[in-house]
Amino acid sequence: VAHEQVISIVDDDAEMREALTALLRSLGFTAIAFARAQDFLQSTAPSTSSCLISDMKMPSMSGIELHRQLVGAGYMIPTILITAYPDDQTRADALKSGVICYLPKPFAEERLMACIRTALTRRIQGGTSP
Amino acid sequence: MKERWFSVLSSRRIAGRVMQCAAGLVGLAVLTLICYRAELNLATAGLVLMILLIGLSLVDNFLVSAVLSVAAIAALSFFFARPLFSFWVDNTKDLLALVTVLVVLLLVAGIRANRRRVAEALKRSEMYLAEAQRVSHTGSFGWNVRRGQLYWSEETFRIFGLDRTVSPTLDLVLERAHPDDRAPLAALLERVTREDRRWDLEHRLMMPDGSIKHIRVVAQQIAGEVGEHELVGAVMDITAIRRAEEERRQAQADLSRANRVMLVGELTASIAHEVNQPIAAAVTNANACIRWLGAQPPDLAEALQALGRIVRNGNQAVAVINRIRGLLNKMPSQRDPIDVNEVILEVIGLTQGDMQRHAIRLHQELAAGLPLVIADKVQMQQVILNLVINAVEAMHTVDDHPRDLVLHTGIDDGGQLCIEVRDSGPGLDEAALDRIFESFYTTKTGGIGMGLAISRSIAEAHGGRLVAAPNTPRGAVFRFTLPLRAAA
Repeated sequence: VAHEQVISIVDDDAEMREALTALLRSLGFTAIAFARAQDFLQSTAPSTSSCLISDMKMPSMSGIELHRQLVGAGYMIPTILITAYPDDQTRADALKSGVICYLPKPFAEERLMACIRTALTRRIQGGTSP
Repeated sequence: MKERWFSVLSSRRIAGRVMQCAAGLVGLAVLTLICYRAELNLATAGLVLMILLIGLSLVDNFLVSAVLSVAAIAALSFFFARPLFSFWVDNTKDLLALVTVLVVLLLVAGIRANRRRVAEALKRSEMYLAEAQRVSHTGSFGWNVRRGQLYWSEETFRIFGLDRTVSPTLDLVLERAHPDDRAPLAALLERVTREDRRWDLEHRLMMPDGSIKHIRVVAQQIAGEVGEHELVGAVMDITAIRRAEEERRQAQADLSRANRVMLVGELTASIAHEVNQPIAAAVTNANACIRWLGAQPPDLAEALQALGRIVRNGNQAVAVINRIRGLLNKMPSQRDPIDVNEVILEVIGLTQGDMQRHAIRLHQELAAGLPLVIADKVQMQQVILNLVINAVEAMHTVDDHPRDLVLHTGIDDGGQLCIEVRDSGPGLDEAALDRIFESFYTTKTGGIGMGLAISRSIAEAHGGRLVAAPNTPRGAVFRFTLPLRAAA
């Protein structure tokens, strides 16, 4: 199954980054991983990615903050947030900001896959990136 | 301003004076007529009228008395002094008699009026004092030590809950005192009779309905007659103040318990996160591995790499848990020769307030001459404090029998040092006896169920044991034994 789709990963935990990259590759995606939100923003990834999977709690910029910056800059990248500290309030805030999924760690592959599928459909409906 | 002069009250008062005047004049006229008919001479008639007027001056005010006095002099000069039927008086002696009668009458009326004013002022000041005592819940008393007589104000009677008809005695005071305060109070009263100084003490009263009052008593000897020993003082009902303090303390305790629970909550959340992270990575790697193995053809190189990462993730989770355990075990343990009785006395000092508030009777059965044990003093204190607090809390609900707490130390049959904490609470059923030492098992609202688990692990770390059993006739007993082989 060749998707030819680029999915970006932002997570400050190296193990999680590596594991997620491998999983996405095994699913046929091209995965690019970043340790910090700033690194992702300064790269070309925002304009080439079809989907962003970001950790919620990171030292310098949180996942939800990253999502808002992207929206502010005009990038319509569907975002999936993953977190080790799930809480209902953040979940509600995230979904209200237009985040596709809010997944507590550890998550089942099926749930991640379902979120990615939703994200990619959203992207096609949402039109092209700037 | 003029209208105010004729207000209802003052016009009623003026009318009253006029009525008094009129009644006095009528009485005077009748008596004058009787004296005249009886043909009394001036001196006798003067005496009779003087007696009437002195009597009237008891109830009349000065002005009325003065008017009546002048009228009496007029009547005497008209009917009894020569020339008769004229106000003129010929005889110097008669004139002197009339003047004397007038002066005496005015003097008596003046003294009377002054007496009345002083009496009124005194009555008012007494009324203010009584009212102020009632408002401030402060009664006063006097105690003549030599004669053994007590004088109480109305408010003092009210504070002690006694009727004013009862004559106060020291025995009554002691009878009213809280049973636990009775002996120290009696000892203190004994000293009061001997020492000349200012006294300031607080104790509790047990009222007939079982309610408790807190009172503060201040007293000082006053300079009296030689040979007299007299104290004057005040009794303040400070129950409301004590209750407010108690409520504040309770609120603080609740707050610190809430803080502790929150701390445990935060700790749990951060442990969960630390452990979650490698587990999440392992699950993700495992999913990737399944994918690589299921691919056509299977990608064994990728699958092996994923498995290698899973092993790493697993080890990371173990490391996290070991790190947390290391933190919890970091309580430094110091071993010194310690006197168990001394530790128990310190714990009693810490919990005394709590015990008093909950009306707990403490019985100390501390064996003398116990050998020292090698132990961590702070940890021993923790264990005993925990057992005492548990016992006190267990007896909160006890109302139908005394709340007795026994602290016992001694050497048991096995030659071990034995500390027992016995309560008269509801006790523990068989099922609870098995489980109380488990972590997170609690029968208390607001408890986190760690106290006894930690206490038992401290006991075991010292080579000792901590067990619970039913107490006789009721309640529970916690027995903490320590080996003596390491005795100093």
